[in-house]
Amino acid sequence: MTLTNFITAPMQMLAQTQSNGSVWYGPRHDDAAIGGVGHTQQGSEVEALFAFINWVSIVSLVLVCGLSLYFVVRYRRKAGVPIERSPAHNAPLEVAWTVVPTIFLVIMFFWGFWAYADGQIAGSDAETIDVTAQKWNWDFQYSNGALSTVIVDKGGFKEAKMFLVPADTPVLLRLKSLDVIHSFFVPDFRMKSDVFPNRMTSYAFQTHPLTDEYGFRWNEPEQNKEQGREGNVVWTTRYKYREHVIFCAEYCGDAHSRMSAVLRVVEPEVYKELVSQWSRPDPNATPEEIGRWVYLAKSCNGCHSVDGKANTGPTWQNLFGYEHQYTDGSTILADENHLRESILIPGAKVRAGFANQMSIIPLTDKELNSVIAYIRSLSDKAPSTIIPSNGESTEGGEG
Amino acid sequence: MTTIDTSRPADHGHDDHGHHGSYLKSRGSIWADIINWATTVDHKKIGVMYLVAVLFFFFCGGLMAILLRTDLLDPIRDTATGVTGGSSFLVFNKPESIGAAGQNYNRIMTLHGAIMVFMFIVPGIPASLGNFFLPLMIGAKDVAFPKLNLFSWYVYLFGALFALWSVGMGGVETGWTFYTPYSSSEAVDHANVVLVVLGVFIMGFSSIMTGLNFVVTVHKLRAPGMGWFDMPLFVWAVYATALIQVLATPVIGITTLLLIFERVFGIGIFDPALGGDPVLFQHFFWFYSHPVVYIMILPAMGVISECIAVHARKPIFGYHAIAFSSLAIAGVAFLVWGHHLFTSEGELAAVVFSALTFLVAIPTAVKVFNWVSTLYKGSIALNTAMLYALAFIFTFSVGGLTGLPLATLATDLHLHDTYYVVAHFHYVMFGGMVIGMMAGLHHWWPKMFGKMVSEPISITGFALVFIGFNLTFIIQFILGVNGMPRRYASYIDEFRQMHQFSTIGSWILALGFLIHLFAFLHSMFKGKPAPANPWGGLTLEWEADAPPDEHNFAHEPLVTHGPYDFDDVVPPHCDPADFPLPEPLPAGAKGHH
Repeated sequence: MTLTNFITAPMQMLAQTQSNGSVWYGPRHDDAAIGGVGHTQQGSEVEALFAFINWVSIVSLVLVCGLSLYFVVRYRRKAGVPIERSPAHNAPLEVAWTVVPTIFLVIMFFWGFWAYADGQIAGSDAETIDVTAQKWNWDFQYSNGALSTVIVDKGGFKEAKMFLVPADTPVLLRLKSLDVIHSFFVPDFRMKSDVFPNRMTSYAFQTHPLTDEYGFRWNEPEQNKEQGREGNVVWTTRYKYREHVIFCAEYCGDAHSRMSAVLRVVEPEVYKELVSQWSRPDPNATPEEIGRWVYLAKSCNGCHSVDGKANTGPTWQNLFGYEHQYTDGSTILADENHLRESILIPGAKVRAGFANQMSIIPLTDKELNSVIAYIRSLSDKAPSTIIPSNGESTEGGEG
Repeated sequence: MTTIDTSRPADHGHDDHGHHGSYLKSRGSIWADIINWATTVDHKKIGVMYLVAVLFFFFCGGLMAILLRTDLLDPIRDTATGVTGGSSFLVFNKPESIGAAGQNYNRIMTLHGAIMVFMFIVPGIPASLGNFFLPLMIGAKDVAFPKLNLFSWYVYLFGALFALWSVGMGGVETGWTFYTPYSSSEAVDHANVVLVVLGVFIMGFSSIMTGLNFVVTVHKLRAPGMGWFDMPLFVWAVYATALIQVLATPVIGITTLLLIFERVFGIGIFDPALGGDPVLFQHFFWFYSHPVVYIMILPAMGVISECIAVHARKPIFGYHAIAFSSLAIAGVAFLVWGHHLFTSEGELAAVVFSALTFLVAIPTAVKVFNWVSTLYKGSIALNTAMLYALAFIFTFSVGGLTGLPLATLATDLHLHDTYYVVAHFHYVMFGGMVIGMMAGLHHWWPKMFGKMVSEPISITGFALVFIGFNLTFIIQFILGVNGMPRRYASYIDEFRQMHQFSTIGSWILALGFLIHLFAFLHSMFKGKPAPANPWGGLTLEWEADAPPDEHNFAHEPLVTHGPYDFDDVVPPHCDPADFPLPEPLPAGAKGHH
């Protein structure tokens, strides 16, 4: 990149957004070229208020600095010229410059309060989605109990989870954390809410409809197959969508900057259809398949790879059945009991070379057993003792 | 303003009685000098020692900032060839994994914040320039408790080294705010967090002792004839700061102690896993750390008032308004901590704190208007100190005005914890405190060391600092508005150009400071000897020699005029031909006071 690019690029970005109808917002986080409209009813209100504050600020700044500059030029020091007397007080002026800003501040406060209230309150008919934050992933559970298992790559970040919301419908997200404080931030929606380990918080919004005015993209049927590596997507017709990046905005540790997810806005009927298909294990699935589903739905994939690559946590490939070094110096054979302990009490034994970063993930007994079965299936080493899972016989060679 | 017309000794400072020579005079040998400085109770020497210490930590924190910005030149990516971008610039620690790259960044980010806030900005102006000039400006021989003053310097240094010890132990990655439950979770090393937090606890005592010393000094040691409203505005500002230091610092002491108890003894105070409340920590933390913002900025405002009045040769416009707004800001400062928690506290609290926050804007705006009005009909000299003061009006106004969308609830929900906040507080902290300190250093350097600083060199430094600073942080407003969260070791692709723009700005900024460093060293060794009153100031410190006599003044000064009566008084040590006065007012006419 050349030096001129450094200077021109931001200007171009600004110019681009201005042509899109917004003065204040630069490039989009979605792929579509959509104007700066805030993307939700609440967001548009925030944008209007922000523009108001900015214009007040710019006028004040130009006034203050312009006057200073004028005085500096007009009254620069000249040798031998006596200074002029001038008043050190001017009561009407001083009252004016106290009262006028105060009026503007009062307007800003009330406007900000009303727009804030809109983002805190959702109607009783709102579609409710549960969002669970953990280091360093987001899990989404729809009102029908389905969990999102769609993993996409976005903006250079890998392994971001995607979830759906219905367009032009009141949506209420219920947020909770499994470990430390996170913050659920959708920049395009101009809003965020902190996520706590000891209480629920909420995030209410209603997106703009998927119309030409607000912009949208088409999802082609052939794209559906590629759409998300684990999507189980069977929707075969084209559908409209908009996509928005989700960030964690409260510092939460090593991989804070990679704790992103993708929110996809679709038509309400598409939402109903996809959510009913998405993200529930087949009732006839094997424990390994259920384990794979848990791996994605509960975001184990954020820290544990299955292809041998080291991540925040050890890879699951060839984890089972091998002996590993631990931070206390011991060497332990990773068998079922060890895996069970490591999932239920993450800090009990920590692998050498890794920090104790894992949160306690709530799992049912069935899910726990399935995950262990899945981990076992990823190992080429057959264990000497096999504890049968769910009464089924296990695969893998014998002793 | 009261004027006591008492005749002063005509040849003050030059008779034998009470004249000891410059405070910088050597004791003969280097060891004698070291022992003399290490055991000194002279407020000027302690001020200089503070200055050296805070500038050293400013350099350390600045180095961290450059590392961070360089780190952000490229996003961290996990590619087929390994980890690219990000911390690969940190040659001393090439990351093996993408997690290690993030950890590198987070540790340096924590260090940058902790060093800059606790070791540089908080003690910055009051402990260095304040220590040196507060007694001089009120015509005192020293502060009220000189030994306590020296002790507080040692406590400060001990605390700072204690905190830095944690770097040798492997570093801390909690961010300078130490938010629980992350800072009390097992993911972060116990010993390191405890060391840093203990360092902050210890430095807090230094802050309290300095504040206490200044409050008593201002109350008890003003020269005869100096009423409260004859005090220079820098003294008002440092006095208001000292009040906050004494009242607010114990809270951070208790908070850090509770955090240490939680980590060491497992008592559940903040960690929900132990039955605590993590948001309680945020309340405690900001109950101190918001008033601390004013500990940082008020002294800088005082410096700017001095610089603008002296270099524009104008009675300051609205002296009382500026003095009272310092106190008003100090008072309201205690009521606004909740605006750091709009996204985490209850709705009612958020509304109340939003309203209270707007209250701070009013006295702050009044100060800025007063400074601009002071320029009107002045006689403005554009030297480095004045250029910094004028730059302050711009950068601090930007910082203040960009605070408005953060005080407004709805817009804050978007901007909170993004680069917009980073840019905003750098405009306030850097554009306010650092620019103010640079103005003060250039304003008072001749008095402190008896040498002039080369104007061409320091104006070059100023130009680079001003341009570099604005390039670095203006773009961060746009980044933040677009949703770039703060404390991110990496970012999505579309933020890349703007990050690179900002990084180049930071290099220009660093170059500017290196030129300033050169200018100061050049002045020390090759600078022209400074006259006692190079700018024609009227406050008492300009009556002392340059550098001042060991006992400040040969005689206890009598205050015979206000600090900014440029219309009526020829400055001490100055040729009346260089400072021509306007026609005296006709008898019976009302002056401007």
